[in-house]
Amino acid sequence: MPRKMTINMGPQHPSTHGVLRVILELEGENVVGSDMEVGLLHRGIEKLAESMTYQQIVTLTDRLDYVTSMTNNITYVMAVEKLLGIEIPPRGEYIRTLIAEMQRVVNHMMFVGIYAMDLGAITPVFQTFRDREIILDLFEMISGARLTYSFFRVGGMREEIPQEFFDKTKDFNDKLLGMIAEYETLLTRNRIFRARNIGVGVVSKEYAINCGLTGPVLRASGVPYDLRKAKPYLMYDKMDFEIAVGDNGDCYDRYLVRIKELKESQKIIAQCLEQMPSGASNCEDYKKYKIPKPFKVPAGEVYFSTECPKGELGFYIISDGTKSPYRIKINSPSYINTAALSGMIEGALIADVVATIASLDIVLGELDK
Amino acid sequence: MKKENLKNMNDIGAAEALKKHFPSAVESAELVNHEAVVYVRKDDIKKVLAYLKEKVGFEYLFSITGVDYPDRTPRFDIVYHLKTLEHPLQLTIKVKVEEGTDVDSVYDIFKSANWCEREAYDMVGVPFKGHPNMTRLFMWEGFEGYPLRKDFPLYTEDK
Repeated sequence: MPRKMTINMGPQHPSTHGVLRVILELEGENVVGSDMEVGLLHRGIEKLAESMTYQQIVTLTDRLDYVTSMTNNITYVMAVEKLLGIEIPPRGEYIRTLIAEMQRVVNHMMFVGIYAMDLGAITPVFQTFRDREIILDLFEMISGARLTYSFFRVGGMREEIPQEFFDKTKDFNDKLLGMIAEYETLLTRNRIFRARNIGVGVVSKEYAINCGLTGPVLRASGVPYDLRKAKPYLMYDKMDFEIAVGDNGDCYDRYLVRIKELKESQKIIAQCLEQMPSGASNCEDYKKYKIPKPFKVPAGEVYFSTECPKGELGFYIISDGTKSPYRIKINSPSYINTAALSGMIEGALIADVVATIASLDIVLGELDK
Repeated sequence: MKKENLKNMNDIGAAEALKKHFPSAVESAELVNHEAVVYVRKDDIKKVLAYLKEKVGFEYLFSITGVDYPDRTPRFDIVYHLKTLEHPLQLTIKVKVEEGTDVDSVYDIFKSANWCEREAYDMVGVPFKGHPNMTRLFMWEGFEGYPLRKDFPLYTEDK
């Protein structure tokens, strides 16, 4: 009978993707129990938001999941727009769809690179970071920042997008499939990669739904649920794409789902660029919502969520009719996926814990809020 | 309220059907800015959520929020967000809780309630009865006060 041992993983462990602390109970190499400690990056975003105006809060949403700031901005401003009852013109919606998908490409590229690195393969991370840089440069062109964009505002966006942006995006998008093929030659049929992944961290369909898992993790377990199809927002009902679904719910399926999503995003970007209408991209009375003048939002409440690269990001906003929200609740995908980690790693080996955490694709800024 | 009928329903339709099924447990069901908001009596929350999950197919609980209304009695709202994965339906279920009392935990029905309930306890200080590990989630052990209560100061003077 092996002696039980409790070891501490994180918060400085490189494969916990930030400051997640996992306490593992081991019997030899096998995990028999685990506990987690979070909150080391807690900045009280929900509390801060209660004292800021609606337009200022956009900057806070950048700091949630700092890898996908654009989609955070989009989700938040759309929630407020729903509360205000304003609509933005088709060009604005197309631009949001286009940029949301570019952000998904950035996120999944980063996932592939870092996931491979966590499993011991160093090469893919250089390739994916090299290619991700192209999109970051494009985002820098329109917003002036590389990660915390604050580009989308309630009622529209900060500035009109220059034609050069669309041309360069098209160039990039034409090469995207080639880039994905390059990552795949290194990983998808790699024997070591498959051995480390297949059958590891299996999540059953029932467990996934009961735990409220979301995004690629949910879809890898065989649940074809994607908000872009289930509750179409922006221009997704006009786009032709498929939902990526896995069968076994293991780490390998979660990787495959993301590779498939990369390819689907490529299709959506191409369609957005092709159909991009001309005209205004901000709502009619955008002047009313411009910084620095604060605006009032009618009393009521709204829950709005979109399919962010990591899963469903939702904002639950309660307004009391003033310039700042009464209460904001951020429902973030990393939070809900990490909460289910204990059940996924029970009975696994320590090395598989690393693979499982990495396959969830978590960002602690979003988890700790 | 039947699983088969969900197909032809909208959010508020589902909320009203729930009220019809539980005339005494459901206090009100109304539409607030496109959201179907249902107020449930505190003691019946577990019964209602179990029914929604097992019989109707609202199998996905993804958010539990605590909201503080200092001028109101009962003082707190605990808000549950539920949805179905088959149809685009979503319900906002609220429970009113008085300061110093607790709510039944729904952890044995929805595993996702584990951290969500701990967070609600951490932020507004409403404990959940029957939760296996009712401790703070984000703030450290020994932290005083509940940050998302309205009387918790945003800034304090340095001593």
